Amino acid sequence: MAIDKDSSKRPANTAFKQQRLKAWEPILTPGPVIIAFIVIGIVFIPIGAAIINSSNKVLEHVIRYDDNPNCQLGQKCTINYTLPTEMESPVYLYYKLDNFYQNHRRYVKSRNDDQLRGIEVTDFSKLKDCEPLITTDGSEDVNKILVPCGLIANSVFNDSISLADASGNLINLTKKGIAWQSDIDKKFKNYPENGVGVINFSNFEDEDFIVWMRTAALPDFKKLYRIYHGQNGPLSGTIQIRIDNKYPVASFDGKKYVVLSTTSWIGGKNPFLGYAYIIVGIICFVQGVVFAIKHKISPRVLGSPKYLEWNK
Amino acid sequence: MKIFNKKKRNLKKKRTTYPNIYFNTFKNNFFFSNNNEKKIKSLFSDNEISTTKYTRYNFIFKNLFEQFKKYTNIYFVIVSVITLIPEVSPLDPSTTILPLGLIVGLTAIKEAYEDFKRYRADKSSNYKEYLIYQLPKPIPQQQQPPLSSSTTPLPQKQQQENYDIESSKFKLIKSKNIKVGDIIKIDNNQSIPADIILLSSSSLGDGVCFVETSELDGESNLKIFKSCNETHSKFKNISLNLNESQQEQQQQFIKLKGNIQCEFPNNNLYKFKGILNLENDNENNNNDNIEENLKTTTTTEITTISLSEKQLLLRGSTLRNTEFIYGIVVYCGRDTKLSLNQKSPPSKYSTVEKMISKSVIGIFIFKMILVIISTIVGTLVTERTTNKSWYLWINEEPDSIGLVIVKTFFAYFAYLSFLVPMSLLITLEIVKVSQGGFMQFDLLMSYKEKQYRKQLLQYEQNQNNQNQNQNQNNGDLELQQQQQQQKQFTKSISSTSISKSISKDNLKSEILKDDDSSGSGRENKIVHKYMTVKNSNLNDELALVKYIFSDKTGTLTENKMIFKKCSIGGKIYQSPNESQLLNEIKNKSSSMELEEIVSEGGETIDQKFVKEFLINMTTCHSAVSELDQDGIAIYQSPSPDEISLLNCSKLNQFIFKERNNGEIKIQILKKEKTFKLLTSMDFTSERRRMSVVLKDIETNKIYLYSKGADSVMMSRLKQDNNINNNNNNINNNGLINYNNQLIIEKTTQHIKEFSNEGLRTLILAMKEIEIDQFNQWFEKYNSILNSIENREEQIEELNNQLENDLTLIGCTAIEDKLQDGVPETIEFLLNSNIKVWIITGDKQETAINIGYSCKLLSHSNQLFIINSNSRDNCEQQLNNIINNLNEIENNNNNNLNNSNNNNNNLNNNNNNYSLVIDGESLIFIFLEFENKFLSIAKKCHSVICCRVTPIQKSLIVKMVKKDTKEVCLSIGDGANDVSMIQEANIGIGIFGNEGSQASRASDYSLLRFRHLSRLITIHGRYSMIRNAACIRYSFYKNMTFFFIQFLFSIHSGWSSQTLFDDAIITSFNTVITAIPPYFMALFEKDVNERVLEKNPHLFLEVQNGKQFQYLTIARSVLGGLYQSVVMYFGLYLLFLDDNILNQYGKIGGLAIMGSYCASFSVISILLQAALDIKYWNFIVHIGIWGSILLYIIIALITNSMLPSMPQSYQVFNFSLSLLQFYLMVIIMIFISLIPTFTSKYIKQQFYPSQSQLLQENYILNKRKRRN
Repeated sequence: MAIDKDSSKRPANTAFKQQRLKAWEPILTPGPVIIAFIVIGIVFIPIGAAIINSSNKVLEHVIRYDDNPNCQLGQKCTINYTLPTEMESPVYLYYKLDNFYQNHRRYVKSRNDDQLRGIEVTDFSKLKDCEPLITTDGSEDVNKILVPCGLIANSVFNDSISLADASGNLINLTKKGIAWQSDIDKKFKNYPENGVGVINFSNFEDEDFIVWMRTAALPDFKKLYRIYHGQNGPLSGTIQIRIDNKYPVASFDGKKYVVLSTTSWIGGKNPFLGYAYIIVGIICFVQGVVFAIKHKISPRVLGSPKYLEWNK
Repeated sequence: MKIFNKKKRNLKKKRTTYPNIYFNTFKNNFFFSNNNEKKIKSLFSDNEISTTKYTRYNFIFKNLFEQFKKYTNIYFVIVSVITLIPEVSPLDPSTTILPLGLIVGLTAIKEAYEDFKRYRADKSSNYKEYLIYQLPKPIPQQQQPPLSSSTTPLPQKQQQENYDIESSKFKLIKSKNIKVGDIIKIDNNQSIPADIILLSSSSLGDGVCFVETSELDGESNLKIFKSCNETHSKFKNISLNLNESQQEQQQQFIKLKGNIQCEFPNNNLYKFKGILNLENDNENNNNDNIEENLKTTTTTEITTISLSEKQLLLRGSTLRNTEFIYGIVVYCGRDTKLSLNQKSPPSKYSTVEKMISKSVIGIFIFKMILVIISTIVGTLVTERTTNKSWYLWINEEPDSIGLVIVKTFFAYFAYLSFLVPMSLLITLEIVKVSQGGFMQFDLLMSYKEKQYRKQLLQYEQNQNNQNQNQNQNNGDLELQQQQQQQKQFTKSISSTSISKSISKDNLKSEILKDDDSSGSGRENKIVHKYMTVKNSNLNDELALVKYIFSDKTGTLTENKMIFKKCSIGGKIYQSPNESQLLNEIKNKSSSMELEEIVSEGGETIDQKFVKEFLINMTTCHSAVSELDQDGIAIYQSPSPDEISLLNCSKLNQFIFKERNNGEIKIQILKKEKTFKLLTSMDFTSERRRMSVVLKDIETNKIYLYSKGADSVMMSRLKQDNNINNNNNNINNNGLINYNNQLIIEKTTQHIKEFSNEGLRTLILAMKEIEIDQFNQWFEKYNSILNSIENREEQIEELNNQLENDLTLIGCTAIEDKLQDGVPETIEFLLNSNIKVWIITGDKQETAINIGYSCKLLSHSNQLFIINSNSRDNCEQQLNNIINNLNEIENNNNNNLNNSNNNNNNLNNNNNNYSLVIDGESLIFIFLEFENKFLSIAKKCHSVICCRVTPIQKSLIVKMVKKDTKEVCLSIGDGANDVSMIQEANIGIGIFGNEGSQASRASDYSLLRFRHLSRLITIHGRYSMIRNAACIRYSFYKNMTFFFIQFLFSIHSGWSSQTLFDDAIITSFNTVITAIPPYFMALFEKDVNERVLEKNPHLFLEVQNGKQFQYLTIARSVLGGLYQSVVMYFGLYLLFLDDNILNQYGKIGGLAIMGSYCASFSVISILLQAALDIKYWNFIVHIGIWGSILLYIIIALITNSMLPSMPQSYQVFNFSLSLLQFYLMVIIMIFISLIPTFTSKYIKQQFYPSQSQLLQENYILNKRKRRN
C-alpha cells in the first residue's frame, strides 16, 4: 500500500528535482588559460616590483645591546650608533627580543581579560586563566590576588630606552599611538586604586603595557616602543641610544635589540611579499608562454573525436 | 509442557515442538492452575506491536549508546574529554563539543523523528478495535491439574455446566489486548490483527474467504483461504439460524472447544502446520457431512483436523469480498509471521564506504605519528629551552619528565584531532540519502501505467451467478483498479528510451499529455510510479558493477502472458484466441448439436482432444474468479500464465465460473457444468506441475488433469509401446486410453518449434482414475494429512503415485513480450563493459531465442553451449571450449605478430563470446568444475543459464562474486529471485506482477528493466564521481587547515598553541566548509548526461574503480600538505621578527598572524572546491561564494564580542584595514592553488580522458548551436 501512496505523490517536474538546473560547465580551453596566466604575470610582476621598491626605501637599523659589555644587566649605558643615511620622520623605535616564546601556550593564555578591563575579579574559577600566577603565594586568598595576574602581565619588558643626538640632547619621542586604538578604547581600563588584591600596578591604560600584552606571533619579535615625529628634523649622523638594562634574557639565551625603522605604505622592511609577487608573476607568465608555444606548435583540437581511444 | 517461550525457541531447529493453544476453555483460555497463570501469560507474547527502537524514557541513553558505537564518535568523545582538562588542552572545550554535539544532536533528531513515526503507526494498529468472543465467567470450582502433554484428556463434561452463559458475548476490544486462543470476528475490509486460524466465513458453501496481502508480500491479487469443513459446518449452523437470538448464537461458541497444536512461531509466510483437536458435541454431529468427514479421524470425543497455511490468515492482510469470518488467534504480537519477517535484510556496504573506514584509520595513524613526534620534540624543547624561561614560571615547580610526556601527548592528541575528518561520515550519510531522493524524483526512471476502468474485451455473459459475488461496495474501488491493472490489454509505455536523448521540450510535452489524459475522464487513469531507493549506501557501488545477473520472466519481459498458439493432439492451432478452438468443435459437427458434442465428447479425435484441452485449461489452475460490474469474469492468480490460459478458454466459450464448496463450476457454451474437486496438487517450483482430481457429477467418473513443464511431464506420460494402437481405439470416454506415440513425437516437435520462437510452453495431460483406486489413494492421503511429521514428503510421494501414466493432450505456447527498451538496454550495458548473465528457468531453445531477441547474443559472436547430463560429459565439454578459446587467442596473437597492425585491437574487441549453460550442467559445475567454468565465463561477455532452479540462481551469483571479487548486481522480480538479490553486492527488484517480495528484499526497486542502464551508468556514475569528490575534499580541507596549525608548533616551542581563533576552529567543519562538499555530492556532473547516454563505453572510467582509490585520498592529503606547508612558511616569512603592518608602525602579533592565516587558508580551501567543480548551477554558486561570505561574517562576529572572545576583539577589522593583508591573501591563494590549476590544465590538455573529450565536443556543439 505504501507504494500506491508514493505513486500518488508525483515528484514535480522541476529543473531542480530533475537535476536540470541551468548550469555553467567550464572546460579549461587553452585560450582563456594562456591569457589568464599571462595576465597574472603582467599584473603581478609590477605589483611585486612596487612592493620591493617601497620595501627597499624603508630604512631599518637593528642594534643589539645586551651583548654590549657596557650594558650588563642592571646597568645604564649609552650606545653610539651612526646612521649612514638620514631617516625621515616619522621614525619608529622598537625593542626586539629573540628566543622569547611569547607565543607559548602556557604564556598566551595566562591572563585575565576581565581584570585588565578594570573589573575586580574575585572568583577563582574565572581567575584560573591566570595560572600559574594568580595569587602571590599560590593560595586561594582573595586579598592575595595578583593585580595584574598571569604570566604576561608579570613579565612586562622593563628596559627603558631613550635617544639623544650626537650632542647628548634627548630626542623627543612620543609614547602615544604605539598600541592599537581598539585595545586602548575597550580592552584595557585602569584597575581601581583600592581594588581587591595585591596591586603591583593599576595603570593598565599604559600603552607600553598594552603593547606587551598583545602577544607576539613568533619567538623573535619586536614591539613598538616610541615614535619620533620629527620635531628636530630627520634623524641623521650619530645618535646616542641610552638604555637602562633591567630585563633578564640571558637565562634563556635571549637577545635584546633596539630597532629604528621608517615605514612605507606596505609597512616595514618586508622583502617576502614583493618577491612572492614577482616569483608567482614570472612563473605564471612563463607557464602562459610555454602553453602558448605548445598550443601553437601542436594544438589539440578541442573535443575532436580523433583522440578517442577507439579511433586511434 | 509444550508451551513455547523465548528460551525454547532456540530449540526449534533441533526438534519440532508444537505449542498448544487452547480455546474456549476455562481459566484465561488455558488449562492451567492459578499459580501458573502469570507464567503462562508471559509465555505467549501479547498482541501489542512495538516496532519502535526506543521508548520515551530510554531514548537518550539508548540513542547515545547506539551513536557512540561509531568509532569516529568515540574518538571525538575522547578528544572532548581531553579538551575539558585545561591543564592539558590547547583547545577550548567548545571547539570539539559543539561540533560533536551538533552531529550527535542531528542524528538523534533524525532517529527520534523516524521512531516517532513508527510509534504513531504502532499506536494506530494497537488501538484498532475488534470483536472478540468473551468467555463466560466461570463459576468457582475445583481446579484442574495442569496439562502435562497434549494427550491429556480434555475437561470433563460436568464442568461445562459451571459457567454463566449470560456473561459470554462478543465484545469490542483493542487490538493490543487480543490474546492467543481468542475467537475473533473480522468484518469485510478489516485488517487482520494477528495470525489467526480461519474457522468459518460468511461464504456459506465452503467457508472460503478472500484476503489481500499487499502489506505482507505486496501481491495485490486476492488470495483465497478456506476453513476446515468441520469447523465451518459448526459455524454454518450459527450463521444459518439467523433468527436465533444473539445469546443462542453465543451458546454455539461455548460448545466449540478444543486445542490447537502448531509450530513454533517462524518467519515462513507460506508454510504452516498444525492440528486442531476439536471436542465434538454429539448432538452437533452433522449427518450431511459424512462425506467431508472422510478427512477426519473420529475418535470418541475429539476430532482431529489438520491445519495448513490454507487456514492461516496472517497479520497485516486485509479481508476482502467476504462479509465476515471467525477465527482463532494462534500467534500474537511479535510471534506473528509479519513481525518475524520484519528483520531488515542483511545490510550491505559499498566498496567506497569500506575504503573510507580504512582511510580514516590511515589518517588516524598519520595523526598519531605526528602526535608522537610532537611529544618527543615537545618534551625535548621543554626540557632544554622553555624550562629555562623564567617568564613561563616553570622553575617554581618543574614537572617530571613523565608528566611532561603525558601532558604533551594528550595536548597534541587534542590539538591534531581535526586532521581526522569529523563531519565526513555524517555528510556522506546525508549526501547519499539526498542522492537517493534525486533518483526517486527522476522522471526518466518513472513509469506511467494506464489503468483501464472498462474491459476492452466483451463477450457473452450469463448473468445468473452474478448476485453471489456482487457484494462489492465503494470500498472495493481500489481493489477493482488493481484487478484491472492485472488484466490490462493495452499499456502505455513512456517513450523515454534510454538510448535516445530526450530534449526537455519532449519530456515536457509528454508530461503535459499525461495531465490531459488523466484529467479528461474516468475512463482510464494514469498512475505514475517511481523507483524507490532502499539502501542509498550503495549509490556509488552502482558505478563499479561488472556483472549483471538478470532474471528473465517479468524482468526482461512484461510478464503479461498472451496465449499465442497451441498444439492439440499433434495439430497446431495458430490463433486460439480467435475462437479457433471453438470453431474446431463447431465446424466439424454437422450431425450433432453443439451441446451434444460437448457432453458426448465430440465426433472426431480432434474434437475430443480440443474439448479435453479446454476443460483442462478451465479446471486445472489455482485462479480465483470474480465478476466486475458488467458481470464479466475476472481472474486472479499468482501465475500470469494461468490467467492467459483462462482467458483463452473464456474466448473459446469454456468459462471458469467459480470454485466453491469443493466444486468447480464451469460454463461450456451456455451450459453449466460442475465438477467435484477431490484433491488438487499445487504448483511449486520444485514440482513444476499442477494436477487436479475431478469427479464429473453427471457421469461419476474421476479424472486427473495435469499441466506442467515438459521436462517433468514427458516422463509421466503413458508410454505405449504398441505403435499400432491408434485411432481405432477411441471409445466414448474420450481420450482415456488413447496415447499415440506419433502424437507425442509431433507434440515434442511442436514444443521445440514454439521454444524457438521464444514462447513458453506447458504440457497438458490427463487420465481417468478408477473410483476404487482413487478411494484407496485418498484414504492414505487422509491418514498422512493428520500426521505432522514429514507430512510434505509423504504427500509428495503419494502425489507422484497418482500423477503417472498420463495421456498427452497437447501443449500451450504463451508469449511473454519483451519489455520496451530491453534490447537497447542490454546492448548499452554490454557496451558499458558489463557482463550480462540471464538466469532463467526456460528451455534452452527459448532462452537462446530470447537471448537473440534482446541482443544479448549476436550472430557475429561465437556461442558456446554446455549441455550435459553426466559429470564426464560436462568435463569434456568444458575442456573443449577451453581448447577452443585458447586456439582462437593464439590465432589472434599470431595475427597480431604477423601484421603489426593496430587495427587488430579492434578485431579483438569484436571477438566476443557467449555461453549458454543449462541447470543440469551447473550441478556438476558447482560440484567440481567451478574454476574451469569461470575461466570460460570470464571471457564471455554474455552468459545464459537456462533451466535453472531458484536455489541455483543465488549459487551462480555467489560463485561469480566469490571468484572474481567484482561487483555483482542481481535484478529480478519474483520471490524466487530474492536469494539472488540478497546474495549480490547490489540487489535490484522490479516491481512487477509477481508481487513486491523481490523489490522489498532489494536495495533499489525499479519499475522497468530499461531503467537499469540509467540507474547504473548515469546515477551510479554520478554518485561515484560525486562521492569521490566529496570524500577527497573532506580529507583535503581538514588536512590543509589543521596541518598549518601543526606547523606553527615549530615556532611556539612545541607548546601546542593554536594559531586560529577558537570560533574559526569550531565553525570550520560545521559551517564554513560544510556546504561545498555537500553540494559537490549533490550536483556535480563531470560529463553531461546526454554525453553519457550516447557513449556507454564511458562507464569504463568509473567501473575500474580508479575514481576512488587509496591513492586518490593519499593524493588529496598530499596536496593538502603541500598547501599547508606553503601557506605556513609564507606566513612565517612575512611575520619574521614580527612584521610592521602599516605605515603607522603597528605590530600585529599572534592574533593578527592567525587572522591572516585563517583568511587566506579558508578562502583558498573554498576556491579549491571551486576548481574541482565542473558543474555550476546557481545553487553551487550560492554555496561556494556564500561559504566565503560566511567566513567573513563569522570573523566579523567574533571580532565584536569583547567579553566572550577578548582574544580576537577587533583583530579581523584591523586586518581588513591593512593593505598588506589583501596583498598577502591574494598572493597566498595563488601560491597554493596555481600548482593544482596547472596540473589540472596539463592533464586535461595533454592527457584528456575519454569522457572529457566527449564533454568538450558536447560543449562546443552547444555553443555552436547557440551562435
